[in-house]
Amino acid sequence: MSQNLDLKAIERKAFRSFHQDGLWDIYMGGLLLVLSLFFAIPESGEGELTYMGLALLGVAIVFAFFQLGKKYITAPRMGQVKFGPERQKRKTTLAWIMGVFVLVTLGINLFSLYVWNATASSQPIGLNLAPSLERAAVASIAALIAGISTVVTSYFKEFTRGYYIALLMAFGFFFTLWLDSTIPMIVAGALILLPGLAVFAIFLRQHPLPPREG
Amino acid sequence: MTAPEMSDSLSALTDIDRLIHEPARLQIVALLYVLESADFVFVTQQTGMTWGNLSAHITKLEDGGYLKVEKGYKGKRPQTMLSLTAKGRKAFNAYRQSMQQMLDDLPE
Repeated sequence: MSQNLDLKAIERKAFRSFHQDGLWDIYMGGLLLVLSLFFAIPESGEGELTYMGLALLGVAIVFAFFQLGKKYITAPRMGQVKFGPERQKRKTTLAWIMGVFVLVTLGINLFSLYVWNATASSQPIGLNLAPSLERAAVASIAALIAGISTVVTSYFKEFTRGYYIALLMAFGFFFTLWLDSTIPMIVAGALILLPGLAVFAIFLRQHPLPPREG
Repeated sequence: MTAPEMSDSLSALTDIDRLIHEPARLQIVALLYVLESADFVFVTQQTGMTWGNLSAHITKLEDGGYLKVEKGYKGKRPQTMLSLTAKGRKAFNAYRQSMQQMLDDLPE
């Protein structure tokens, strides 16, 4: 009886079933791949606008694929559901946490710009880091921001594969910035995207379109 | 447990809500109990029931006043949203309690 009527397990299974489509993995992997274009801009700045334009276009395509995929591929196969108040509460909490996270990230970026400008105009700011240490610090901060935000999202969404994605995101940002090479980010993006595509293919095979109601 | 007590426990079995007790309907009610609402497709996916089978059980639960069925459209596709009524939630709670009580009362 208790095994058959584990209500928490029933709810958890229903909730987690929404990550079975692999779209989140494809989105995150694709995002990392297109973001690597920002880091591919040569130091000379040649073709900067083209790279940035392509990256922004890539971000738009990946985002559109995720949204349209959820709407036109997943939803008709999985159906519509509204979870209970506990889930709604968790969703609101996650939104607040991510809001704070965005503000903190913005603060860090503004502080970095301030340090960068002050260093460029030779003003003393009290941060005398060696260039290699500075690079490692920037890489660590970027990796922490990317990694922690993905871990928090995965925790609230009970998305187990999200922890693997978080690890690869942190790896991609850290080594790309530290080594000044786009390869780690491309590798991390591919390692997230490819399993996502496999999960997506399995999902499509296991969830054919149901007959129309009527 | 004495014989009369045992007899009481067995007679309690007849008081079990048969509308919920049927395994397929129990699956539907338990799922909808933990959700606010879900459509026909979602319930089919989660329970593994066929379209026709689910439809038959939904009708019985609706007739019993345990289920609210709302027919509408999502874009151009027809959509049937299902949710437990207050009566359905109460009945499911009572069912769980009585089953638990009865199983707890059984001798080792």
